[in-house]
Order: sequence, then structure tokens, then C-alpha cells
Amino acid sequence: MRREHIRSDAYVYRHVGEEHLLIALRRDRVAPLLQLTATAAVLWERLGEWTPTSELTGALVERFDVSPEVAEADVDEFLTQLASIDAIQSREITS
Amino acid sequence: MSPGQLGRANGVRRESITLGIGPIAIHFVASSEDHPLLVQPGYLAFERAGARPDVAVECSVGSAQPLVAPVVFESNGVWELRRDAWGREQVYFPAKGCVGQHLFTLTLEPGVQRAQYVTVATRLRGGAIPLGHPIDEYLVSRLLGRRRGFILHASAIASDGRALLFVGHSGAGKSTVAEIADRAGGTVLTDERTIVTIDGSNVTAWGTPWHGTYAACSADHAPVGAGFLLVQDERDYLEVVDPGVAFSECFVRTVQPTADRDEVICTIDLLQQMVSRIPLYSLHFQPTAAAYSLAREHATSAVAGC
Repeated sequence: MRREHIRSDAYVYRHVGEEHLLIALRRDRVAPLLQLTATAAVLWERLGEWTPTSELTGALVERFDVSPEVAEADVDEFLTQLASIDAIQSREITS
Repeated sequence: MSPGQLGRANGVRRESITLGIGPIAIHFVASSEDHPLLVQPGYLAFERAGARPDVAVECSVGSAQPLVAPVVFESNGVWELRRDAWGREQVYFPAKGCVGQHLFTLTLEPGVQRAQYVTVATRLRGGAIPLGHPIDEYLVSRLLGRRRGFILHASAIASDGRALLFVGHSGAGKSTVAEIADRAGGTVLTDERTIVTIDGSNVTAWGTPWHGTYAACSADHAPVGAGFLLVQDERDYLEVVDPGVAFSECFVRTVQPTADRDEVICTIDLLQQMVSRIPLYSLHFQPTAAAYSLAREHATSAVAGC
């Protein structure tokens, strides 16, 4: 089953100095601040609109020197992390 | 302050007072002569008589009920915020262990130019309504979110026309550094919570009445010369901090209700500007005058270098 994802409005992203930061807009969040890798920041950018998992994997393969298998695992792990803090919404793609 | 001004319950009784905390002016007025305001002595330095208030707060005694509106924010069970369909907000502090009973409520009209503060009679002191934390801090934090400022857990020392910020959580050494700096001739703006405002390229630190264990504060302000993240250590030394790391360290030490999305984003943007405009270091230190001198000398040379 294919799935697509979009970032929630509970967090904002900022690139400050050498840090890629995901910042919670409410203090009652489990994680008020997350450091992203440069790779994760690319994925977060893509999540500005509904994006299928396969496109996220493709973006990493295209932009970084990484195999599709590794990219897929990285994307899955990142999406799981984001879902655990309610930073994304996900849904099945029916068509 | 003359002895005649002192009230019976360690404070000054007034029918009204305007406080200037940072760039925000708050006018408190008692709604009844029977229950005047009780202003703690430490707040008198922040009196700004005649200033045009940003918000006027009517203070009364009663048993106000929570707004009939959904709870939009809860702060660890200490207080909650309700917002109704007309944009009116109410901060509701329940009595501990007494479900449905309140200690006090603060209701903000849309635009936060008028507010009502209602406290229960059991909180009166000598028949007067005590003013102070957390009501004033809540109002200031909300208004700063709209006026290019924020509150930071930091002590601030004015010296040589510049303010040094010492950032840290409780126990990090903010009050200790403030005490050392005071003895060394610096002016303690605050030993606990600093208001930071940004206007163009100017980053300014303002004293607040919300003090820490050293209990020193001032209503003065000064342009920020440098910021230091406090790290207690075996010896004194400084390290330059990446703005991203400084942002993270400061963000988790901002004091903000996070009740309004736009205000939080404003704080994030201002903090990003602050860390890009002032030199920032981690100050590894032992609690001695030498550590303060090290920070002060470094700030002076950083300004000279600019």
C-alpha cells in the first residue's frame, strides 16, 4: 500500500548557523526542539505538500550519494520519528 | 520610599499603579476602594507614573468562573488558557487539589489592551489585592510577542555601557554571577529573567522585577554586548558558540506561554536575529570574580573588534 505524507503545523524549521532545527510551536510537545541532519532537512522541505514515500526516497537518491535501499530505510526511520511527535500527517494513496 | 508608604502586609497600598517592565507599560487599577492594590517593594523601581499603558488591568475580588470556552492551552496543570469565539482569552489558575475552584483569573480582551484580574478573597493580604508574578509576567510575555521582544532565563549585568547576558536554567549560576558582578561594580539588571528586544540592528537587555536567589534587579536597560551560556567547570575559559547551538540553548530558556502561534514564531525569528547579531560564548567557570572579569574583558574586546 502506498502512503503519502505532509508536515503538520505544530513545528517550524529554521537553519541557524550550522544547525537544522525543527522547533515546536507549543511547549506541551514531547520534543520542543529537534536537530535535523542536512538530509532530513531536505525531506522536511519536501513535506511542505503531500508527498509519497517513494518520492522522498527518490529525492535522497537524486541529491545524495546513497543507494535506493539505504535511502528507503532512512526515509522510513525519519517518517517514524516525525509521526511519533505528531510532526506529520500520513494517509494511504488509493489511486 | 518613606516608612509612611509601607503597608501592613509588606508592600505599598495603592488604588492604581502603572508599571514599566521592559518596553511594556501596564496600568493596574483597583475596582473598589475596599480592596486596594498591594505592590511589593521590589516593584516600585518599575513604577512609570504617567506612562501611556499598553494594557489596563482592572483588579477585583470575587468568584469569577472560567470562561465558557474551550481550553486551548494547559501548562502542566498549573494554569490553563481558554479562548472564546469573540477572541477573548482567560488564564485560569485553579486551586491545587480543588477541582473547579480557582485562585484567580486573568481575562484579556481581544487585542490585549484591556484585562480583568479577579482573585479569591483568601488570597488578599490585609484586605489588599497582591500584584506581581505571575500576572505581570504573563501580560508582558504576551505583549512582547507582538512587540519584537521576549523573556529569557538569563541574568543581565550592565557594565561599561553594555549588557552582558548570562544564560542558564535554575542552578546554572545566573544569580551567582550577578552577585559577583554586583560586587565588582556592575549594575544588575536582573539575576533571573531578562527581557530582550530587537530594533533594527540593536539588541537591548531590560531588567525585570522577577528576580532569582540574589534578589537584585533594576528597571534600566542597555545594548547587549555579548551572551554567555553558563557551564560550571573546574577552570575558567570561553568557547565561541555556533549560532545554531546558541539558538537551541536560548530557545529552551525563553519564557513564553506558547498560546499564540504568531507570537511564538515572532519569538523564534527574534531569537534567530539575536544569535546572529551578538557574540556568543559558552562560559566555563568557577564562581569567582575572575570568571566575571574574563567575560567582561572578552565582551569589551568583541565590541572593540566590531
